[in-house]
Amino acid sequence: MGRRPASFSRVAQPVRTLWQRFAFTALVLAAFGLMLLGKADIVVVKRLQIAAVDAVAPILDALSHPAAAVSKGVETALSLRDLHAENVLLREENSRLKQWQHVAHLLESENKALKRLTRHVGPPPVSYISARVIAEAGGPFVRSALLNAGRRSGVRRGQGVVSEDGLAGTVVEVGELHSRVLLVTDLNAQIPVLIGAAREPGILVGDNTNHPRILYLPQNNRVSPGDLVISSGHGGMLPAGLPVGTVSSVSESGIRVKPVVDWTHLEFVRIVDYLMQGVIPGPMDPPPFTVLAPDPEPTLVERLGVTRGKTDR
Amino acid sequence: MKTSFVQRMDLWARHLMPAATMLLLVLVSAVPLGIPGYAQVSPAFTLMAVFYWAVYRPDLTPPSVVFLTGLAEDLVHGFPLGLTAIIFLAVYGVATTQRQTFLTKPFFIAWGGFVIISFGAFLLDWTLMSVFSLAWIVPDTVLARFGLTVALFPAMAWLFVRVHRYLVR
Repeated sequence: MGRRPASFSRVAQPVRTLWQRFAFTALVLAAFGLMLLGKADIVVVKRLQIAAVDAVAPILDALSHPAAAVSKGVETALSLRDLHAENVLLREENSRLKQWQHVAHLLESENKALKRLTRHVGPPPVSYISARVIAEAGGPFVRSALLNAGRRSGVRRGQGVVSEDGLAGTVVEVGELHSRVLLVTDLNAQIPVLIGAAREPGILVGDNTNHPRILYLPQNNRVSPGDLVISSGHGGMLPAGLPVGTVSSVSESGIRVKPVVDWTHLEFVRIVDYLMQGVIPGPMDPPPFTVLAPDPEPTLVERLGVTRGKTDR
Repeated sequence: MKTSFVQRMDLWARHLMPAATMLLLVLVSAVPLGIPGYAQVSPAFTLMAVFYWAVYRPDLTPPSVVFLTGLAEDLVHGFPLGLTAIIFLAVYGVATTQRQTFLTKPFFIAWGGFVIISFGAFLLDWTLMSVFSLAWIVPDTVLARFGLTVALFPAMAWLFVRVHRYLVR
């Protein structure tokens, strides 16, 4: 018999028994270690994490199609049931909205004229990237979603994400093929907003419940339930004027907001490519933009970007 | 007795089934279903798989596989890396030491065991997450999630039993 196999097994055997005995403890310690590393925001860990999610993104994308088809089917069946009542409602709403559209057009032209008169410098131009929601984590701990558009489609960290109703969240993590959206209800989401007709400035802070809070309001504010909450654009992260929610309750314990986004039907979203770099660049971000082109005045509809109805499939 | 290459491949594939079901459930549990409120209380399917295989076939699901499943869950759901790995390893550790109590008994004993162990798992999860994010996380959705997970366990166990039968055949 040769010596080499014998010596190999002699070396390998103790290692193997050692592993079998202590694997469990070692793995628990490794998991704790990873948690601490993650808390320390180490670039290598973050990179590995993003690469791993990039690898499974196509699978999740494929899985989300049949799920969407099933939920669409259920919805169609339900809507067939009360088609008539809905039709009547929609007719009424449509005639009401036509009046509103007329008012909006009037105000827009007036607004334009006034801005021209005062040489108002408008916000930078905005373009959109459409994406599909391929996974959502809406548990008690995290409120986030994965989108099937990443760096290749031009997504960058900090960009806002809007559904057809309004602001859904902001991009916090970008891979080649995917990006992760932190929804406005998440514990870590903080969005500068303006509230009501008085445009009281505050910060919308999520706490993993369905109704985020408003903090840092000025004293003696005049906020009441039903007030519209819009993004303020402070900090240069999001365009100003995106609808975020409506004030649902005002009490001693604080002000709660009901987001406008219908979380159940969050299937397609648009990422707002706002040409300002309000986020402090992380070590993994590309260098910030320095040129802000003189902008053609965007129309009201373009700027709000949410009134066009559902994104086409 | 010599087994042919095909036979060995077949056996190998069968032995991979428990790990494969766990990883598949990680992906399935993240798929947006469009049911109102589902995303908030989506049951922990992967936890059920970890418990089931830890009790019935721990030889095919070594701790390393459980660890990797936990990491995959963290990555897909965007949890702090390692959190779910700790939870799954804890459930696996408890379930493997107590498996003799469940093995020859009727199913509802195992279900009872799952209720107790998963309650501990959710409690640990909630505590760790609260400490990690240094915030009070409202526990009502955690409880709802626990309730749904426990209620759906028999249905999932039925599925696992099918896979299990295929394994031993």
